[in-house]
Amino acid sequence: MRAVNTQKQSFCPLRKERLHRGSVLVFCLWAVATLSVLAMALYSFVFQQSRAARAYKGLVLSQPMARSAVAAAFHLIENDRSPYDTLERLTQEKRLDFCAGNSIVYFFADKADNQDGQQVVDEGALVNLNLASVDILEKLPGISEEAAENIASSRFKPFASVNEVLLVEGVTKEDLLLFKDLVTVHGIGKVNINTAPKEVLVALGLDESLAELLIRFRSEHLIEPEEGSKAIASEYGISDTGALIENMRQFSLLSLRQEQDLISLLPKLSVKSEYLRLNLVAYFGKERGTRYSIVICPATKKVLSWREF
Amino acid sequence: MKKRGFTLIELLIAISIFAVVSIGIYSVFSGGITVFSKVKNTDLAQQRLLLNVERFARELRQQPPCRRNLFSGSNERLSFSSFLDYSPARTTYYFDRARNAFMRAVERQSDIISPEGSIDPEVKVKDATPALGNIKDARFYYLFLDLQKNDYVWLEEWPYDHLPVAIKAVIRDESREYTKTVFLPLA
Repeated sequence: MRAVNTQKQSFCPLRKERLHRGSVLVFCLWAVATLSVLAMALYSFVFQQSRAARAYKGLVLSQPMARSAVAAAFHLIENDRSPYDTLERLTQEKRLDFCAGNSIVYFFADKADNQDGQQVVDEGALVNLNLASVDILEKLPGISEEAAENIASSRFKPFASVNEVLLVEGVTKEDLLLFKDLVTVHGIGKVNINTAPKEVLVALGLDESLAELLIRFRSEHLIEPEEGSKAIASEYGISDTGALIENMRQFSLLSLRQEQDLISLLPKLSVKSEYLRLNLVAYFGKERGTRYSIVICPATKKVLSWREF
Repeated sequence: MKKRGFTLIELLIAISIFAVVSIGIYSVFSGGITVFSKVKNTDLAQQRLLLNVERFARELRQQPPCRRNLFSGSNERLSFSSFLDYSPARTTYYFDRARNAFMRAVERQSDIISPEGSIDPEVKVKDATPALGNIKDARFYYLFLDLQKNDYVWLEEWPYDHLPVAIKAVIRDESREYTKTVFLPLA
């Protein structure tokens, strides 16, 4: 009897302690739950704010960055003494650094990614929609003979942007997508032979093999800078149209017809781009921001078209 | 003699402790939920406004050059050239007092151009969609370089052929006023 009693007595405090422990556990759980609700609210608040701030920072910062890159590009062209623009120089990426790790990269020829690899689009090496004749226009992909005649005699000419060609009867959006990287509305109709894509050379009246030969020639022909002009480095390309035929003859055998084709084309060719497509890519640290595609006229220091992506 | 069950006083004490604790918990919870709803409502509304205004600014900056008289600006309405699915178009922004909304209307140039090549200055707004709802007022101002005063002035109307240097949109909702100044790169 006594033994049982002591057992009960020793049992009771233990149960009480366990009960006490349970209430501490419940209290702790409640505390954790309430704290986690608060922490979640705080986290989502901070997360949303920081995300919005980052997005807005990108939108706000890239504008002045783009403007200073345009100014830098004008400055660069003004100090450029060379009488020709080669493919290498126009596609070379230059970088403008700002504070806090922000920077903007700029280059002059658009590197459009097509199905058949990278294609370079230079504003000064495209067919001019306002000036091209019917037989040049109809050789472009997506333009039928009828559409070419409609474009050449359109009452909406001169076009102020390439897309205005859609106002012409017989030109659809699908057609435009085929030739929009080959045409321009700026300039006096001269094509920079250093950067002209094959389709443009073919449209101008060269046959495919001659166009390919010309493209190979300009990538393998080294321009030796004249003595005394230290500023110009030697580059691959074509330095003037006058000596083009002679240099081509040394490079490869030309048939009489090919030579005549080239000679008849000479007035339409140049070695410098009058209008340039300035491409800008903004970077915030390592993160890529807005991309700009801008058409500029260095002679008048004017921006003619401004697109953001 | 052993007691089973609780006395009234014990019960009262237990209930009062429970009440105090639950009020404390409830207040903490409700505080958290208020922060949640604040984040969800007010800041999203503000962000939405900022992003929509930014879209308007981007459209303005990207307006393609056009030789026809597409740009027209008054204090309540602003029209400029744009693209709609690649084809040249005219975009108009205005404030609709009846719907309390900032409206956007896009018309294809092929629909508004006359056979002589001039543009119909009357904007048809039947296809307009609200770009921004729940606002009180929206006004436009145009930055003009006044050569006589040799200073920049904000005009309420734009009577000139060329583009203004900048456009300022002042949008007011219930609580505050937002100002967005867009510098046009083409000007």
